[in-house]
Amino acid sequence: MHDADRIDELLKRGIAAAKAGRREEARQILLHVVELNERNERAWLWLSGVVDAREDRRVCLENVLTINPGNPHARQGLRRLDQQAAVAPAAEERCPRCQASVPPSGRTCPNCGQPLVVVCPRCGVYVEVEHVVCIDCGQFLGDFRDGADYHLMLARGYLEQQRFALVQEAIARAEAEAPDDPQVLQEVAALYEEMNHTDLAVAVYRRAIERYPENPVYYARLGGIYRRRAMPDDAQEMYEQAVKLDSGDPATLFALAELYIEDGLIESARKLLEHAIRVDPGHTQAHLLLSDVYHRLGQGKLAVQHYRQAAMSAAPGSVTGQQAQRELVRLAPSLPERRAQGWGETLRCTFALMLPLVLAAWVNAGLVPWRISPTAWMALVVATIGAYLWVCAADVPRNEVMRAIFGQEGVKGFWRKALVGAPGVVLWSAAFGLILGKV
Amino acid sequence: MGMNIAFFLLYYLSRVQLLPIKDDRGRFRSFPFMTTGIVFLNVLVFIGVNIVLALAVGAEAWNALVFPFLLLPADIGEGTGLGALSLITSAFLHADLMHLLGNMFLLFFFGRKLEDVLGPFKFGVFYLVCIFVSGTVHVVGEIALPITQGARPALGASGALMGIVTAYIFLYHDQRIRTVIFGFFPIPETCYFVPFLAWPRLPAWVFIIVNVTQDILGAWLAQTVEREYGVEFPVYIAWFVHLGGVLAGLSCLYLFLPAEIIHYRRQIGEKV
Repeated sequence: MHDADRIDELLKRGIAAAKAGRREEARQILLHVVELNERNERAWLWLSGVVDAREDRRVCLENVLTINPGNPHARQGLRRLDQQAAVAPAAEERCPRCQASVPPSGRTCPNCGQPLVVVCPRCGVYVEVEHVVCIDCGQFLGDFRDGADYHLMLARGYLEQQRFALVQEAIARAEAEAPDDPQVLQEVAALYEEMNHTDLAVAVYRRAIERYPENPVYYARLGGIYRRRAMPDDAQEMYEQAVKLDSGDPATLFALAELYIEDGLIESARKLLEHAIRVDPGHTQAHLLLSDVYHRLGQGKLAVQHYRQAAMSAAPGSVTGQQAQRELVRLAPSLPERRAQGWGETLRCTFALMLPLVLAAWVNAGLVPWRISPTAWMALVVATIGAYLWVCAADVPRNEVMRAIFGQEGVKGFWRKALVGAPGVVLWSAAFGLILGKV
Repeated sequence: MGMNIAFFLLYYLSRVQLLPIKDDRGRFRSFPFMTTGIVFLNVLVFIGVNIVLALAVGAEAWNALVFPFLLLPADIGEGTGLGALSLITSAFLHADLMHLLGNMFLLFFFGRKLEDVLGPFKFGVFYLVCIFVSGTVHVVGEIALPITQGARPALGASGALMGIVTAYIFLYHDQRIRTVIFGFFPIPETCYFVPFLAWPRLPAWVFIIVNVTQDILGAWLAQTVEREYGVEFPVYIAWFVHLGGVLAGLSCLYLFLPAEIIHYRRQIGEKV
């Protein structure tokens, strides 16, 4: 093995020992490395983290800067050493919180019980709590003086790396720091939820509700957990309490409306959803559910209106948007103008209206077409005109003839429809009467 | 042998009553005015004609008064009587309360679903078309019978009703309908009956299969019995009216469907 390879191997072992907290072993290995290559920057840097005496640490960091004057970790470390020297010139290690004397390689303060080192969430190295960033990977760790927030931030970091034991430890420290803080309780419960420890989350929310019964967030969150656990009655009770305390949260209103619909309380659900939309007009899910509710209540126009709003407010290509579009096509489809208002459609609709009259005339003639009387033929002609006008008013208001008469909009508006449709219905009915009466 | 099988199949099928209760399409765009109106009119006519008029004039005079308003195929064939009007009047008359209730129950169930699609006015015209087509088929079928030759009158909404049921099934053939099935199955060569009651979710097409099977068997048996044995077929139900209703539902629905539905069913094959 070459020297360089051997040094690398030793360095790796030393760093691993330092990361694992075996400071003495790490110190021995790293000292051996710097003996072999006194210009090894990383070895000096890591050695600075495992030596006990402050002066030794300073020497190590200065050696790093001699090799690489731009090394930020070394600069930061030296700056911190200077600050500590100014505050506590004594050579002994002290707890950064309570300033009690602590053993050189201790992990927790024997006096206040607070940690002296924390595990970096990203790289897993032990870092002294005074360090705002990890000396190894540069991960931001926060300021330990922030108390519970500091531990909660670490817990979040551990959760991202799925280091659940460390999450629990950080949560316990956060709770110990601020047991009654409402924000801390909420955050702790949320962390438990994310870890799927719903029993613990429920317990924290229940404790929070006991302490702060006027806070609607706890009820809403607890309702959410109950709902996921298929406990709709408990969920409904919690959501109702949340809405009672604060009716301005659209998410809670929406969740409660969903439960009401499951229970068949459609009218109550409608009121909640309308309120949710008043609070948040862009709430796509609420629009979609409300249109469904209106549909069930037989109010098609309002259903279409909310499907449109859901389709407009949904993210492009989203499932919700596609669902709203599908419902719109089903409820209020639109056709190409040429197909919807063309002659083919006009003829189809007119023939549908003429069919009973033709059949009646045929039956009156003893099912022999050539026996149909001239009066019946005349009535059929009149009925055809009537049926055409009726169809123009009802089904194809923008066909070519109507556009030529009334302009591009065709038979639009009540009076135009009445002007065209009423004579049509009268002619059709009169002709039908003539045929039925065998006049 | 074939006749025996057909007869027993018809007999057993006629013992079964299918009452649709609920399908998955529980939504309506608006109140079904036309369906409700037709049901109301039928009930009103029944009360007026079968109860009030019958009590007022007595059975004999009542028969004489009502008879011209029934559908008499022979009269239609000869071009006498009320003609086309009798097709309409007979469709609003019913023989007894069970006849009325059975028809109105089915009309209210299937009619409002179809009205939901067609709209009230088109549904009304479609109902008229079903009356005319079913009546016409009945006229042709009954006149073709060797003995009776259209001398037996018919009444009831069942022809138009079959058109509505057929149209519904044409549109929603994949629906499942919660159905109350009840009846009495006679045990052969005994005088005992086995009653039964069930409420399964039947596929919609079962309704049309059961009805059309009964109608085809009945129409065929009526023809065969009269031709082979020279006697009237003992069971008289207007089989041809029912078959005409099925024909109307299948052949005329296209003319009444909204353009969007035809277009989109064709385009995306989506249910409306």
